[in-house]
Amino acid sequence: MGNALLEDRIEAVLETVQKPSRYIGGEANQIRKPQATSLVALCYPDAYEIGISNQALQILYQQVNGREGMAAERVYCPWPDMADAMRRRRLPLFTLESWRPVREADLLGITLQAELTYSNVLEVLDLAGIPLRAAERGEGDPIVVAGGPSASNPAPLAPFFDAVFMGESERAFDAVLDVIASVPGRAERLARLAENPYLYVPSRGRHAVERAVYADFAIDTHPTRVVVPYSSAIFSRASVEVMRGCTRGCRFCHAGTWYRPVRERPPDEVVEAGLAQLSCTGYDELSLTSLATSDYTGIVPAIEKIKTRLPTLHLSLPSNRVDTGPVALTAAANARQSSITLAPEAATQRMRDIICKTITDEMIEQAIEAAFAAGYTSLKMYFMIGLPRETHDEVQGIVDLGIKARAIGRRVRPAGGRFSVHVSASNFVPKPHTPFQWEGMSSRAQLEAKQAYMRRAMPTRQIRLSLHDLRTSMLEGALARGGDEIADVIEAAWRGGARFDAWSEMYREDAWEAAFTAAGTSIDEQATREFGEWDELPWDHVRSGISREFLLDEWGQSRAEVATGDCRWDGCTDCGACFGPVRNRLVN
Amino acid sequence: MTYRITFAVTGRARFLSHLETVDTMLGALRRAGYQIALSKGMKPRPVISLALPRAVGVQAQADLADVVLLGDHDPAEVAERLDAQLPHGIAVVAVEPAEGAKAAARVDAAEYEVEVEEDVDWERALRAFAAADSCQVVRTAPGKPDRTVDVTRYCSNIEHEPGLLRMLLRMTDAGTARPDEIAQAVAGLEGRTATIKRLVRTRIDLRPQPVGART
Repeated sequence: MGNALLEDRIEAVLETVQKPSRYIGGEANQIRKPQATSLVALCYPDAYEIGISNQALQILYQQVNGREGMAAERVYCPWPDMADAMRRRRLPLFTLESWRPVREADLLGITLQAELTYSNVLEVLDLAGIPLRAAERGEGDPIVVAGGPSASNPAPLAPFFDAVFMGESERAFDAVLDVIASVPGRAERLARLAENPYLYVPSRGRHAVERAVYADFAIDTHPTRVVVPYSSAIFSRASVEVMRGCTRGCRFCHAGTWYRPVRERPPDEVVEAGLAQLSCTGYDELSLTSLATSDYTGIVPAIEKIKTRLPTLHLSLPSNRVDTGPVALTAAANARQSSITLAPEAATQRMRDIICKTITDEMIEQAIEAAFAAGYTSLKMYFMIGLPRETHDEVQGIVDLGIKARAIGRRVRPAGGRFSVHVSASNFVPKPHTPFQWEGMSSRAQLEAKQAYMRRAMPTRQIRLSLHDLRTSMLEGALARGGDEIADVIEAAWRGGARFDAWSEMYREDAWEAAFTAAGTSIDEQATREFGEWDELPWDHVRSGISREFLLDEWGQSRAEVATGDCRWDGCTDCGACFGPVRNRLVN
Repeated sequence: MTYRITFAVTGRARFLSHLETVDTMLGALRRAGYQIALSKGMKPRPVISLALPRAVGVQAQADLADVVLLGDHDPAEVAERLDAQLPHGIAVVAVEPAEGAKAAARVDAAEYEVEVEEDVDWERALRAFAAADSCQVVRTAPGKPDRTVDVTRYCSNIEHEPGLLRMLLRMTDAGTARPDEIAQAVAGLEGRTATIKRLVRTRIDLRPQPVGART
């Protein structure tokens, strides 16, 4: 079929769907390389507006396109109206840049950023006309490789991937691209890929695989000419990753182990990279990103330098520690913003010791006071419920802290000044490679009761409470620590109509329930499953670099309700992340 | 300084929504090195307005945007630098300094070309349309009661040439009509449904003064 004909057919479909701009490509800074001999399709398995902002894919887009003869083209999961229309008209899934069928790619890279996108992975493969299972693929099919944080437990999707890449793509993924560029033939390529220490090739059994760590974390791999999304995207701003990794050691946090050790970029390089990206994109906002930007030791000079060059720039510092210093920094960085977010995660000291969130009641109260004093009129606070060994006191503590924040607001805000407190509580989901990987999720009944209590007990004047959808949290729990047996469940659920599970209005609980039941289990059984210290875990063959002993120690400390220090300041915790050139690297 | 940008939207870019078109224009202006004036008030917004929103899927040959840039610039240079930054499918036709009320307040009419199949006797249908006192169209919208509208009063001119209907639609205080609506209304007079292949807005006519302005 000629490409012109395919284009006409795509255009005809676009006349009939919602938000057709999701599928047209052509944004500023998009790269087209018609002369390229290899095509790499990069997929975020969710809607365009979610996927386009993802940093990991922007990094890979630059990494692949930076190679001679190789083109990266983007693909997202078509919304159901588009998917239906494509199936009716037998239109294959196509890349945004050149509207080429995804099936013509040499490599299809799919990033797994969240468990609730798993059903979309199958949707993407099916729409592309690629056999779902790696074992059924033939010579004409692309090599399908997964990556991203959720790939750290590859078991639930293992049969659908030819290979799973572990860790950070910069530099290490080049070896994969070398194979694609230089080796012809699917079998030969797979054989060569199986030699890569960072690739798990499921067809070869559960072999050991290591996590790639980008030791240099050099600024040259930071994408400058990023694709500027059409206005529907969730984030429309320039961003510079100032630091990777976090050693605060919060025991629930997957990123807190998966991206160790901490590597900071020098402030001068951050400033130049930020200004360069602003001028290439036309954004009027710059975000300094990391897992906890207020911990970045170059933050003060970085802000000062940016403010000197661009005094009116809208500068945002997401993910800050709950303390007065970060509140003041955030306020200084951005005068336009009226709302600020604090994430105490837990409201009582006992629970913060259990999860190793080393902040005190006093720090939280002072941060709230500082936020209102700085003129913020909307305060958001994030918490989790369902954490291990949670009692009623912890849930009550969240309600009390909401009320206390309101009282502080009333005292600090000028008389008659309007303000609001927004309390958000998500449901704790245990994740692999964390000290809580052995814990079961709290039962649905428990979480329901806690949510109901909070709705009753939380006053409504000037306080808004939002609670996460329990149904999708339970599913996330069932998938996150699932084993090989979950693959059939995911396929059955997708065949039953499950897709876009993270979108409450799209969530098909019936399809998931039927799929788990058919496998002789249930969402709740999987989500609440506890592992013993001696049990083999589905992700044991994935060597994150963090030792099992460290995770077990931390799990023990959690039961003893004792927090652990941060190795940046309190001495090495012997977690195992550092080796050779890979170690914490701070600029100050 | 206010500049009036005349621009064309073709190809895949016609699938951009009105809001996306505005944002695309703003981003391109910033990348071209221009600073856009901000509105006054609690939530300052860049000062830009498109004369007429463009429905998703409709092409345009000469749509209009008024934007206020900081500083004085050579309009020809604005045109060149902006054009270089716009995505494929959006092209600058002209830039000129604008004075007086913004274009959005002065739209008088818009001309459209509707590409149609020749499965309707368009000449006869158009004669019937011209002779009719009124031509009622039912507008449906989700969650709202159906509304019947006489579209003849909005269509000040309509011509047919093979494969094409060219029409001039008036923007009035009471509203206007969509080009596809007119095509269907005309085909309906022959008891047919029009097969529309393409919609192109060819120009937007402005009044010298805004509607209701005191002179």
